[in-house]
Amino acid sequence: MSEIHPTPDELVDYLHGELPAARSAAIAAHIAGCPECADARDAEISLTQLLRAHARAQERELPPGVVAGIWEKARSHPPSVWERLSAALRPAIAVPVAIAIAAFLFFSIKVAHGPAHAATIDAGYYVENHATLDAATPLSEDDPIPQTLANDAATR
Amino acid sequence: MEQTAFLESAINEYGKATYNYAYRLTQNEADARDLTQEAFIRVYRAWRSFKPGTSFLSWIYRIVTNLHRDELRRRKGRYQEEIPEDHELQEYGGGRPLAVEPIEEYVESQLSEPVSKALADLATEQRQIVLLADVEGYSYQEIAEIVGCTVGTVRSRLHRARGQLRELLNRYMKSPS
Repeated sequence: MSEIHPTPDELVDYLHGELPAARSAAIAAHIAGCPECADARDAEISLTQLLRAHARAQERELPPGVVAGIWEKARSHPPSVWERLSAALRPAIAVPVAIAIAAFLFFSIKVAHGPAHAATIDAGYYVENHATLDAATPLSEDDPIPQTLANDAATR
Repeated sequence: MEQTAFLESAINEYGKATYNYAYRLTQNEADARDLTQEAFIRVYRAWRSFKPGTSFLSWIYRIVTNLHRDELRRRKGRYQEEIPEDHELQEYGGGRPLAVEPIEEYVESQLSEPVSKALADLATEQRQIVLLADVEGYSYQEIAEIVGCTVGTVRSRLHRARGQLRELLNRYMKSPS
């Protein structure tokens, strides 16, 4: 028998079947040889039995008026548009629909645009701009807009 | 299954259990009736969201628990969580465990009122957990899902609730008034 007594909280968890199997077995073995812990366990069991017996003693039938009230309310308050929409958009439907839409968009965009190409610019374009820039401001360290680029912007 | 048939089946199979859970929670017939009606209306409206193969009772208990919490908030302006987690009923003292006695007879004759009073004195969220764990027999994990908290919270609330219940029962059985 283990000399370490289970705490009252551990006993509650033990009686509710909420401890790991090894700990549960250790507590069971301890209680078997420890009258003090056996009394504490019995006290916990009696509390649970008391609550259950009280619940049984107070148990009552569902009043007929409650059932009538449920049906009356159900008929007078049909599901709202939002509730119907929520029901229609529940995960079982919404997820496959979302996947289908995403797949459609992906493939339609791919087909419409074809494979992406890297933009190609003639090297002469850069040489021409560089020459224009140097000619305009040969000693400037700033980066004025090259004339050809400015022209490009103006014509757009 | 059609919506109306779903509701009819739910009422027939789980109406009584739901009403009794609502009654234990509220300790009041009028409130239990209202809570049960409202819970089944929610079931009727959201019937498609019920997942076949899962526990209907857990689902409707969750609905009842949430409705009860909302109702308390509405009435009092805030949820009845005045008793913090580490609250101890200092004035009662003692901690004498209940004797193991023929409980069924006692409950019928002697203990019904003290038990009712002791349960009523618990904070709402503690009463919920005691009822679900000890009367309904749910696991901590299931209770956490019904109440909407962690398993650790269920565990600590249950421990404290049982400790307080024992103290309250000792007090009310000594001086029934």
